[in-house]
Amino acid sequence: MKKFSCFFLTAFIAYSASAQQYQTGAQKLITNEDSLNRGTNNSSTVISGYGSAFYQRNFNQHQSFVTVDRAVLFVGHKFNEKISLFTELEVEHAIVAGTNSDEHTSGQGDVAMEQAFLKFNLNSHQYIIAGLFTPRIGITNENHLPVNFNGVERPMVEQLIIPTTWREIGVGFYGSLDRLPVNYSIAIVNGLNSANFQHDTGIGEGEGLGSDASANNLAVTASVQYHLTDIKFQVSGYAGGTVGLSPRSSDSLGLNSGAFGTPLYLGEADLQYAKNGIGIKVLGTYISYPEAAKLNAAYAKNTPTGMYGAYAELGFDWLYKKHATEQFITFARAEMLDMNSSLASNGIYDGTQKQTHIIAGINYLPIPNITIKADVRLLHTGPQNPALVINPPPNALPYKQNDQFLNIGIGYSF
Amino acid sequence: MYPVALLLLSIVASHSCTVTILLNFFPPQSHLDRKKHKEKLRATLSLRVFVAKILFNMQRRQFLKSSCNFCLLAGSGVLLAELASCSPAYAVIKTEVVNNQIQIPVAGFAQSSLQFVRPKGWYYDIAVQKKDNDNYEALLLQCTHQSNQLTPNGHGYTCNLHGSQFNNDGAVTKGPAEKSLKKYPVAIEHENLIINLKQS
Repeated sequence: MKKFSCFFLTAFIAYSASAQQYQTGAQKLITNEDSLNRGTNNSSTVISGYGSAFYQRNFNQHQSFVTVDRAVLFVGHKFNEKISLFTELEVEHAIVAGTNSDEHTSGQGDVAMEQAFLKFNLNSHQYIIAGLFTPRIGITNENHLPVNFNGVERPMVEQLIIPTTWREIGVGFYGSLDRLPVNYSIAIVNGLNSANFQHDTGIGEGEGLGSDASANNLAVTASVQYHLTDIKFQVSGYAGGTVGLSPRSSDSLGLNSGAFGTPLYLGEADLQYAKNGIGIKVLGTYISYPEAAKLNAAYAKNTPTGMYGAYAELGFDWLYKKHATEQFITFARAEMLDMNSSLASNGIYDGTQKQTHIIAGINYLPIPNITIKADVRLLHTGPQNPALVINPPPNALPYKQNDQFLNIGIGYSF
Repeated sequence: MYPVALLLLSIVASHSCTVTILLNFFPPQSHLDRKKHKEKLRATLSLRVFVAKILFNMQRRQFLKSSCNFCLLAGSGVLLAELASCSPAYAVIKTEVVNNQIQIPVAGFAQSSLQFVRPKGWYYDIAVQKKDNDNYEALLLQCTHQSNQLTPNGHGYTCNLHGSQFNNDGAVTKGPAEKSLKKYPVAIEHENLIINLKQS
């Protein structure tokens, strides 16, 4: 925590001191009169949202399914020029019903707040947010609408390594520099709950999601974005404690408690390029969890000490030269990830967690807020570890390292 | 005294680190340049060795850890300043609104066709762009989706709240925004641009 604070503080001080010599053509005109005209939008409450539905065929299992993936309602309210409220309410898989309901349900549905935060404008280029929000980590965590990414499914690296729509409660400071095209953010949020980590879902199950999350452990996340003509480069990081128990409970389990006890670290860098219809995205991320062995001993888990993910995507908009709002994009994306790239001393390697995904498809946007998508995803994993197989063949079907999926979906935003 | 000495020596070491890194990334082209390049490298290496010898009696592990950290921190600050010279020339003009108008000099567009106006007390900047036909366009950098501030990218403006994008003319290129950015009328009077903010 101290090192993070010192890093940013010293970097900014050093930059400010060095930048004194770089004077641009900025001018300051001062008059004795101060106009009351702010020239801003007069509407106070805004309702908007996004959603998607899709069909998927799993060729190995000879099984298809369809679902309304999500329907999200935004409600935003501007109290005054300085203070606004932003909320996102999400319904996944269309229906959430009680056990005695006469509505048949798959049990996959849920209703959740995706975001609910207050925004305090400090000036035209800096603001503070407080509440439940998605930190700026990765590409799709902040911009996760179906019109923002290619493919029916969000990138697998940004589902399994960086949790998708990862949101926590906290306070964040966002801003952009004057003399450089740099955006920055720093936030402090509640930490992950390692007691909920699952072997095959990375750290995603440990999210607090704003629902009675433990705040004994905290996390700091920060990012820097740099725009250079048509390239956007981002670096982000996360460091947080993962044990929210009281010191007595933690000690009895052999875990380190406290704000940053049993820490988890995440680093991410990505690059996006868009010009003349060409779109390129490249992302790499690594998670380090040095004290995973203690967690495994406490909860009989198989959590690794390290996991990584990376992907590269190339897309082309064939309608770019028409200069119209219509877009027809063909794309291909290659992803590789390993949810147990390095093991704790008491961990067991699972080859199925080392995965390669190749996705190729189309993305048609008749207008910027509607998308019709189709893609094929090829999956290759490592072999199953016999030590982890509870129900071996012939009782269960033999594990296949290769699988193919066909996805067809629609999405909207407004 | 020890931390101050460490800080000063680390700044010297970091400067020589930066110079060494830059020299290695930009190799010399001619024989004379190569000779000068080698001399510069020798000088920076000698400087670092000199610093290390002076502090030989200090705790070596502490020195290496601290100087490495300060080297990285100071280097990142220097790098940010270096990036300023590589980036597009961004001019931010801080001004006041008088009689629902903003006045900025036309001469500022000689260096860059895009300038940002920051009216006092406003929570949004105004982007003023000089077009190919010597006309000027003023756009309010307020996202038309949920009024978040926009930031420039290489080909327009982006809203980081939900990902809306607008081109240089303010038209939506990516949702969820649906409306184009608000435009203000611009006129030229006596070598000044007058941006009229009055609500029509």
